[in-house]
Amino acid sequence: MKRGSTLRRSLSESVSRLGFEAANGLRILRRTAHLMCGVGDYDSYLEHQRGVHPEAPCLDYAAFIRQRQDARYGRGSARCC
Amino acid sequence: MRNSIQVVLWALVCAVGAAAFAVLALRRGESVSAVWLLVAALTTYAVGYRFYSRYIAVDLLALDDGRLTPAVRHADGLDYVATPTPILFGHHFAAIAGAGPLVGPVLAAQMGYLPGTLWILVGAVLAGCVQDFVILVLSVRRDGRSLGQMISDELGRTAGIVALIGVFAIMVILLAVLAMVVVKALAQSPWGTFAVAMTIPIALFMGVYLRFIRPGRIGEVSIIGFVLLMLALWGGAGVAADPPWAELFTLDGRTLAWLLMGYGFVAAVLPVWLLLAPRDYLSTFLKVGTIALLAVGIVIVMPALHMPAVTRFVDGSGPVFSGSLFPFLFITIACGAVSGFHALISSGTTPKMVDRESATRFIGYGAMVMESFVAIMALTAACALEPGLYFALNSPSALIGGTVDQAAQVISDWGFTITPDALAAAAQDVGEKTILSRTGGAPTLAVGMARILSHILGGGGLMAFWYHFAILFEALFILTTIDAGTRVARFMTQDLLGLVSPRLGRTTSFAGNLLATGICVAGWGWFLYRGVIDPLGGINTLWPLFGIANQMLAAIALTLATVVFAKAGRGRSLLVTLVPSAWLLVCTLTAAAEKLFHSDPRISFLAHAKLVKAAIADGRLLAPAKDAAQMTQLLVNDIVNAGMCALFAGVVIAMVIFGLRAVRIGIPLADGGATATVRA
Repeated sequence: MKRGSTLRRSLSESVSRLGFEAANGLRILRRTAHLMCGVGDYDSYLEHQRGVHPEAPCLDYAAFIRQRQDARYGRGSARCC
Repeated sequence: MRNSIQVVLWALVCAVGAAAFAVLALRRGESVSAVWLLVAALTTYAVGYRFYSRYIAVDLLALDDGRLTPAVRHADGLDYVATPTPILFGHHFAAIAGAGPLVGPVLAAQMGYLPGTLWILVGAVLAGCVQDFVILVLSVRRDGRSLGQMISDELGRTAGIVALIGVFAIMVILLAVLAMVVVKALAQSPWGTFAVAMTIPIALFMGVYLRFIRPGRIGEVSIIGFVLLMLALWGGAGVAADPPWAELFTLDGRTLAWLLMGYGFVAAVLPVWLLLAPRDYLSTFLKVGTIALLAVGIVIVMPALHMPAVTRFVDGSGPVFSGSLFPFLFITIACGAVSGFHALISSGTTPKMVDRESATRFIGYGAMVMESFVAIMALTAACALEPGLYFALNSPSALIGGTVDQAAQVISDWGFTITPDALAAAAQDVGEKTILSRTGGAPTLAVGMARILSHILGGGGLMAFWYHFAILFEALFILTTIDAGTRVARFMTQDLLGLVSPRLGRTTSFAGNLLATGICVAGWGWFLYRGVIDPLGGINTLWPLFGIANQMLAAIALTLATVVFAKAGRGRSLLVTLVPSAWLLVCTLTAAAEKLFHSDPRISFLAHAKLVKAAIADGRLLAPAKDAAQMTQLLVNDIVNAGMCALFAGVVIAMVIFGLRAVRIGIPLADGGATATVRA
């Protein structure tokens, strides 16, 4: 009885750990894909704004993307051949 | 103990690599497996990365994680963000990967697989990766300043202006040659033309979706875009099979050239969110995905290389590009070994996101290793074709004629036996009417990729699909480069116009926008159009000019680095940048001199001009001219091309003089690090 519950617990721990790892992996993948086309990490932006300029308003996600698009392409971006 | 295991391990890696090189160089037989090429490449990269990049990191650069990077010091959550190394690596690689390393090695294959392989590997490890790495570090230590700004700071303001003019000229040639590759790939191909044309409405739809329907959903919209793209590709087959539609999308080179110019103009004027940004998302993901797919394909299929190790065209008489192995092989391969454009990327957004100095080794040196590997894959795909087929694809129609019978005859006479039936079958396999004289590298790579990918997915029945998929993939990111590049050139022009009339220089002025964009499109459009009507296929003229320009920019970047390290008083480790810099100078200047003064009119613009002049005096016509006015036009082409070449040579010589002067008169180091233990 006791052994079973330990097993169950460690099993559910591994599953949740696996889930966490997978979610983390996906997050990294998503962040990489976004940065490949010049869109930085929105969470990092929020964290920076809250930490450094807590009084200033934050861009919402759509505005953040617009800002990033203009920064990347506004004056054109040097492309590799 | 652990140490001696490492020594044994690395000795083993070296031995395996040496064995692979020996097989590649000494094989005597019908073909050699691509396995040897891959092993030679991977061992060279491993040794280069493990030992040489570490030497550079420690002895030349003295990387120090105690020195804060701009991402930390100027953190703003937007441009300056300390980013984990693997994520930043992806960003950097996506930014440096382009069409160059796919096209250059394919063209270089006319000399056999060995010369190209050696230069791609040696050039990358000793020059290309070094440039990317070192410029990245210099920029990180200068608040992420750009190449132009660093030249201005370290070599003087005039040097900065000269470099800007050089970059602008390179941009024009780059856009022309890339547009040329697209024209050559799409001419007379309704399937390809339809699929590529459909990318425009798809991108517009994605732009609107991302702006108004589901703001900010980049991943979602990219998946929708990709599905639409595949539908367009599938639809292209139907278009090609249906005569009235096929006729509508069967365009000749001239029409395509005009359409591309029109497209470039409109795309550079439209708001970025509507066309440029969504197209960039789509092409970035397709590019990275396809490169990965090709790598998997090559590793699984391991095709045999049918091209000889060295062909007789090393003497300079080849049909794909004229000029002997030195310097033209080096000029032709360009980006896969060392690319000046990477210096712009290494001093662009990447240095603002590096979280610590030691990360630059993996990002700067490592991403170029990967780029060089892309070049090796392109070379493999080209050399896996039968040599006869390769030359049929890449030789201009002026040399091999317009029918499979003529082409098979001429190419077999060169010593690469092929039958007319084989050429016809090759065209049929990929769903095209003809594959003769599809110069520019992209179609060759597409045929190679189609053969490899249909091996693992879909079999022979999907060959035509994979061929057009590969064409679409190349055309898509080339078009993105054309939009983005025309835009960059437009702003550069506007800065210059602003010196003349402040009103035209205002980037908010609509008239100024149109004028500057028009000037840029006219600039690259001119070279493109002249190339399209050239009977030798245009690539023949434009690619070497582009290669010279690109290698020249690399020489400038490495010269900047050498000057910085000289000023900082580095000893022997200075050779790390001095040697490749000197090599590139010798290569580009020799190539430029041959393009100007060689006696062979197929190589030299001026010798060709003399030929045309003599013909005009005698009242004769030379192809492609059909009347006296067109003869004058030919003369103008030669003079403009020669002028461009002289300009590139002039810029690079000026840069060396500026560099020597900066060291001699002691322009102070602009690293702002008087307190750092190691300066530069």
